[in-house]
Amino acid sequence: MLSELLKRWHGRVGVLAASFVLLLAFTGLCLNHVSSWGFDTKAIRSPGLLALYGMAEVGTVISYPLNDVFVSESNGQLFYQAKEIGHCEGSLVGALEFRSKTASQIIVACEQALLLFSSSLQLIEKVGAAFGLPIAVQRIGLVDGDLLIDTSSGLFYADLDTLSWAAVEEGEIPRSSQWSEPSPPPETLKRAVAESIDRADITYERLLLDIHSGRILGEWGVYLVDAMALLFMLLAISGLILWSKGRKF
Amino acid sequence: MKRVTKQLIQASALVLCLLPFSALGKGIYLTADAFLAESFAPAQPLMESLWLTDDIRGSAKQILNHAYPGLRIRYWRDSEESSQRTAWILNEVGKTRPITIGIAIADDEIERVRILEFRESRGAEVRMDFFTRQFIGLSLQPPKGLLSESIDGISGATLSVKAVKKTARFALFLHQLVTNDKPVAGEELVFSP
Repeated sequence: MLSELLKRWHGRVGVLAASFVLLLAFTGLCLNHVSSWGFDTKAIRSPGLLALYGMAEVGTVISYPLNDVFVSESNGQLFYQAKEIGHCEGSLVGALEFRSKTASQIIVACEQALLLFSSSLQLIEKVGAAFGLPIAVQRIGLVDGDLLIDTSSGLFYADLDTLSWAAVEEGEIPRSSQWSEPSPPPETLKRAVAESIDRADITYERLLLDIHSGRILGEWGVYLVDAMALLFMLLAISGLILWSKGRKF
Repeated sequence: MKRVTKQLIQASALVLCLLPFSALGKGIYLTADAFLAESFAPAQPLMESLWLTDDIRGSAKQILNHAYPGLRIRYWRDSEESSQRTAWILNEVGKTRPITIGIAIADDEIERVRILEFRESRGAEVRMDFFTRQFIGLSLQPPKGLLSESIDGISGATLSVKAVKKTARFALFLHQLVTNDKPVAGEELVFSP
C-alpha cells in the first residue's frame, strides 16, 4: 500500500520535475562553455531581456520641459538636464515651477510621489501616499498659481505646505489651467541621460546564471528553484526506496 | 490526457506547499492614518513641519550614518498644548529599499513603534510585536545619544533591525528638538553612529 502510494507520487513529481531538469541541464551545459562560446563577453541588447533587469533602453527617456531645461526620468532615475537629482517612484508624469508664499520651488511628479525641490535643486521633501497624496498621479498643472493634480482617483487642488488635497470636479477647472506636458528632449540630452544610467553591461553568461538559479524571476524564482531542488531530493530518495524493493517503474 | 493534467495539478499543489512563505513579508501593514489614529486617539493630531538646519543635518548624519534626504520633515503633535506627544513617519533603507516606520513619542520616551510598509525581501520580522515592543519606554541616553536600553536583534534581519534602531534614535532626537530646548544639536548630546 505504501509502496503503491510512493510509486504514484514518484511518477507525479517526476512529471513536474522533468521540464526543470531539462532547463537546468541546458543552462548548465551552456554555462560550462561560456568562454568558448563567447557568452561571457557578449552583452544583451534585446530590450525585452534588458527589461527583465529593470534596464531601460535609451529610447525610454521621459522628459518634461521646465522653462528652458528638461526634467527627465529613465530607469527610475530622475535628471535635471543630465544631472541626477533622485529617484522616481513610478513613471515621471510632470514637472513645473511653483511659486509658494515664500520661495520658488520645483515640483517633480512621479506616479507614486511628488518631489519638492528648492530652486537650487535640493530635495525639500518627498510626499507620497503616507502623507495623504492621492495616487496614482497622472499629471500636474497650475491654475492661477494653485497646484492641480490629476490622479486615478480624481482631480485635486494640492497645498504642499499644509498637505491638503481638495477634490474638484473636472467641470470646475478654469480653462486657464496649464498642465505640464511631456516633450521629446534634444538628442544630445537623451544621450547624456542614457550614459548616466546605472547600467553595467548584462552578458549572456549573467542571463544563463540567473535562469539557472531562478533569479531571473526575482526572489520567487530562487524559491521556485529551491522547491525544485527539494523535489529532486525527494525523487532520488523515493527512487532508491522503490529500487531497493525491487520494483520496476 | 486528463490523467496527466490531474497529476500536474497535484504536483503543482505539492510545490506550493514547499515554497517558503518568508517572501510574503513585503507589504503595507498599517496606513499612516491608522497609525496616527491609534497614537493620538481620541484626539485629532496637528501636522507640523520641521526645517532641518545645518546643525540638525549634522546630527542626523551622525545618527543615520548618511545624510538625511530632505530639508523638511513632517510630524504630528497632540492638539492639546500641555501634551508632549509627537508622531513621526520616517523612511530608512534596510538593505536596498526603504522601510516606512511610524514612531510615537511622549515625554521623551518612545510610546510605540510600528512598521507601516516593508519593501525588502528579507527582514520583515521587524514588524512583529515581539520586536517593536522592546522600544517602548526607551529614551536617548546622554552623552552619546544612544537608546537607553539595548535591543535584541533578529537573526537574518540585521539590516532591518539597524534601520529601525537608527530611526528610533532619530525620532527621539527630533522629538526633543520640537518639544523642548534640551538637545540642540551639538550641545548636550554628542551623537555617535
